[in-house]
Amino acid sequence: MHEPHAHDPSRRRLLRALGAAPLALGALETLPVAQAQTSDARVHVVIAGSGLGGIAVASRLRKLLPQARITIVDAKLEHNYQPGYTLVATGVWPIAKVRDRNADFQPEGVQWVQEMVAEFDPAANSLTTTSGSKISYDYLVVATGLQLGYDQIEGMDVKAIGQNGLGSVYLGPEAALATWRAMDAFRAQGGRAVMTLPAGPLKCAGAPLKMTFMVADRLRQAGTRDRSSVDFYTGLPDDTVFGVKVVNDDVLARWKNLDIQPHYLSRLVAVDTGARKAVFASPEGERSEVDYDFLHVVPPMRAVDAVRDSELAAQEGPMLGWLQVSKDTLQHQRFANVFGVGDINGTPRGKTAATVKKSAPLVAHNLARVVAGQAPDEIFDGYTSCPMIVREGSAMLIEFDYEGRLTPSMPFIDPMQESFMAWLMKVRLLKPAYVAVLKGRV
Amino acid sequence: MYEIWLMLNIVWELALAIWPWLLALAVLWLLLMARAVRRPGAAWRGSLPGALALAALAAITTFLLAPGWVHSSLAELKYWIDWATLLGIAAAGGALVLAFAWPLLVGLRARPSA
Repeated sequence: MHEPHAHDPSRRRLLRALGAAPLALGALETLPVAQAQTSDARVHVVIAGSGLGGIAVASRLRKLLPQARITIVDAKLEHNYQPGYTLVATGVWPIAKVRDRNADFQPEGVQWVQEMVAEFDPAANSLTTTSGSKISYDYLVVATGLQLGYDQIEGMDVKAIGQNGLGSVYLGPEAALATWRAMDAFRAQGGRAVMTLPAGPLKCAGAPLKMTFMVADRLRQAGTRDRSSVDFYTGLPDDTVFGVKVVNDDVLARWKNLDIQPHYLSRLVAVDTGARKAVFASPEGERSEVDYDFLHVVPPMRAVDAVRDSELAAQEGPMLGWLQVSKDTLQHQRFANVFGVGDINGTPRGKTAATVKKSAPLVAHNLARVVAGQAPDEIFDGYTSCPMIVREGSAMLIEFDYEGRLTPSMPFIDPMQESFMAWLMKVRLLKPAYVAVLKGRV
Repeated sequence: MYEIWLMLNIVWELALAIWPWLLALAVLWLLLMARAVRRPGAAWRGSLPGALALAALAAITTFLLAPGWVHSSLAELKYWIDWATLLGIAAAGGALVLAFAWPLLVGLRARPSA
């Protein structure tokens, strides 16, 4: 279950004791927050959620608010590297690469309450855990992630993932591995692959496209592409599979060359996993049944119930139910002592690890400003990134902001150019970067 | 600046993941160096061509095999940055072998003075 790795604090201590690189380690621990806002206020900060966003903010706050009491509330004992799910689900990575112990990433000096949040009461500056315990706070960071809406697809049983040609990359490591087993069996015979993408806010909106590219590539490798078809059904409008136009057009051009057929305004509403039939509905409610040999289900996504049912949620608008934060400062729009980070935020784009990489330092800094009695002064540009796998061995490293403008970190590299380097980053370099984000260094 | 900082952190995390191996290699390198330096009549210059040949062989091998180690292939190198990346990886592999081969060959070639 647990992959041995070097993030174990005991190993780090041993490394220090051995004197392997004390200067380098010292530098790595002190540089990143040198210019951020700090405060010695003795406040209590509660962080709901211990995914990448929650832990990254906790690591930063530990340094910015040395006198503060910081509590993380989350029952999850396993930490999953979710950006790696597509690699597991397509047979590139073993499952162990996306599984770690959450305890290994908890910052020193942070209290960890191993329960889920059942209710938020921002008017009373408190939350209630699933056991009924009430936790009061001075400041709150909401980092709960989101909720997968498999229950909105009639007949969908997540336990059936991996059987009868049913796949879904989003549910977790086991589902990703089961998806690979289903895809592997499918590619040996060939047949009809039906890939899906709902409309609405989605975490890693590139994942359904990557899965589509990869199923076509796995069929090609197996020599069964000629007797197979790949159809992509999306609830989005005509000629739309991705929210950034230049990327969208590039993907559609590639799919045309690969003979991947898109179908628009088609929302997956039901599935018969035994008979291998998927049912799609048009916006007018017209239903059509599609036979498949391999089906990739992407569920609709929504805010977790504890946020959706609380005063923290947006009460109207396109992000109804999501955390109502300013897209600029990520501070809550009605409760000034509340910030949000990660998938739960009701911001226009960016439910990815890359968004957390860029926004977690900003949230920690802006929160520390508020603790110090000042207004938030750092503005988030909506940065997100999608290493778009186009086949095994090649990818495009696409980065963009709220406005859908491409914002390449290395301007001399064309983001729309498929490359070995982008693939290398995806399979070897981005997880170490993720761990550095968890530790509050980048 | 941020990208350099990020890359340093990535290298650090990669090193942390294999630190026992790195420690073993460092000890081995120190032993090879100690053995070579303490040998009378150590032929550093004479051993260099052999070490360079081994390093070149390692670099070429790394260049040919590295894409396969990450589920890719040489056929995927279609952009200048790909060639630059792979050449850099190959050069690093060659430099690593040179660092070990040179003192090793010095130690093997040296003879105690009469």
